[in-house]
Amino acid sequence: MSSTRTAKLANGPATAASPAAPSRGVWFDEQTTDRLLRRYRTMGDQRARAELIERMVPFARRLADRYRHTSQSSDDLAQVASLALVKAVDRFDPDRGVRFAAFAVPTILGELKRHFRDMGWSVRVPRGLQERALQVERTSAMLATATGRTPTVMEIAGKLEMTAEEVLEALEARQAFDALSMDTPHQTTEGEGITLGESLGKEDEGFDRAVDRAAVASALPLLPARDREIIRLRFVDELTQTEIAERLGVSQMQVSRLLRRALQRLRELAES
Amino acid sequence: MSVRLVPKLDLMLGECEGPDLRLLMLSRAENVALVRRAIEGLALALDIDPAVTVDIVAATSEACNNVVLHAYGGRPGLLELHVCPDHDELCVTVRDEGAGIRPRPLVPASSPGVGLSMIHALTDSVEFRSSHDGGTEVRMTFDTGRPMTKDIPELVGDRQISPPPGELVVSVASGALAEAVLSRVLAMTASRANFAVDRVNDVQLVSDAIAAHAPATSVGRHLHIALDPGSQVFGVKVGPFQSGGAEALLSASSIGETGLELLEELTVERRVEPDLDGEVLSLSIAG
Repeated sequence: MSSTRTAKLANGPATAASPAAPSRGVWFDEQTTDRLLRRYRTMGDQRARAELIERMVPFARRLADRYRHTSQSSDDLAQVASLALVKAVDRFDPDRGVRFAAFAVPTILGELKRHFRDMGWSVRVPRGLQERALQVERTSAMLATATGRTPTVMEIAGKLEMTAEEVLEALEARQAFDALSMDTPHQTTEGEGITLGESLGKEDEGFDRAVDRAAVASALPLLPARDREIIRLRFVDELTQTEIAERLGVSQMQVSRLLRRALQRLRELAES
Repeated sequence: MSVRLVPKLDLMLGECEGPDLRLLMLSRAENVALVRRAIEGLALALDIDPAVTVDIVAATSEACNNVVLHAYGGRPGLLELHVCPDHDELCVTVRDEGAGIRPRPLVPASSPGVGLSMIHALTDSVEFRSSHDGGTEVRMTFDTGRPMTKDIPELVGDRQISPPPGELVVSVASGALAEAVLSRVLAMTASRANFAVDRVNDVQLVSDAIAAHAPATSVGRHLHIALDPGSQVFGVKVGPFQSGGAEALLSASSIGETGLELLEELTVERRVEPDLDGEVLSLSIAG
């Protein structure tokens, strides 16, 4: 599954941005890198930038692979590394006399370390708060079943004799430890455990085609398929977060976290 | 009751050099919870040790409760909070415009007799003083143990800007701080307006988009938000912007090449209103 998505990310920009996709193994050809960097730097050539990024994505992923034995999902790490690569490309000055790799490696490793530091917060969530988070999640599901609609924060608070503040804190904590792994099996309504990555893998193709038809120099195709899918379901198909959760067989909280992060990534890409 | 808090310009003239946060609200019990959430967001963005954050939240909560219970004889009046990070020290000021005896005993009814001692125990220094216009000010400092991030954009222009009026006014330094504080304040407001959980999460997306894009066309280095809480629907005013800045914020929230704008998709009404310093974007968000 992971390799399929790797291919998609690598190929996505290729079809959209550069018809002359490079063959595998040439991503670190110094001369080509230098030529593309200069074209982008001096002429603002967006196609050169796209080609460069696409060539270097496997390089970024290899750096992320160094951390594959940690608690973080390798997909998340690969995404962090790819975003860092985009930053490195945009900030590099070829006239400084430094090789691109010498600049990009510390940039990418720095971002990976920052990711670990940010995620570290979630493992420090106090036990009491973790339990409260699970209570909130269960009560939310129970109320939804009973009423046939998504409960309000106030309803959950009332049921659990908590304040709205405590419910929101719990929801935040729940999302933080959700963030630890996309690949942890979760229960579908049928009771079988599948990973979120798997349930988000479907229905990508139509969307990919639509994206390919659209503007070339856009950030959206650079996003992984699952991020694009969730953005499409919410804004193009106009499903609510709860409906998306039902369709994908995941919790609404997971949808919320994924959607928020996908939009943040889109913004980072658009700004870089 | 609809009250518009119109911030006074001289109150905006803090001597704070760091990325600060200012909240202007009515002294109601429910707003104390909002203060706590805002400070938690700020602490996370500034990477303050969680153990220190607990102290900051508890002491600030006591000081605010004191205003709610004693400053205005039980009626709501102005409650102002200013949080200013300076290297490894966080300064929190809680201010009111009550005309009670000064200094009033800091004894919230919820915890008889312990309010003042709690503040003393949790802070590294505390100062009580009467402000020039008759109110009381509690200034607390906390040693954060390590330097805090100082991520503030350059000051644009040379004058102090007054935020739009509303029942609750948030002024926060642009950047990571604005993102963390606003999403919590807006989530709380949406929860109180009886929004379903998934719509509260949508409101956080609106908040993220504002925090990310508003600073580009705002006047000044702070992001100003005025809230008009309600039931099922509430109003958010963002600004002031330079002319055309409100429209620019809407289009900056576009979602890739879907041709859609996030702020249009997730709000029910958008208006550009004239303001003393330019213009203001007024949004209505429904549950």
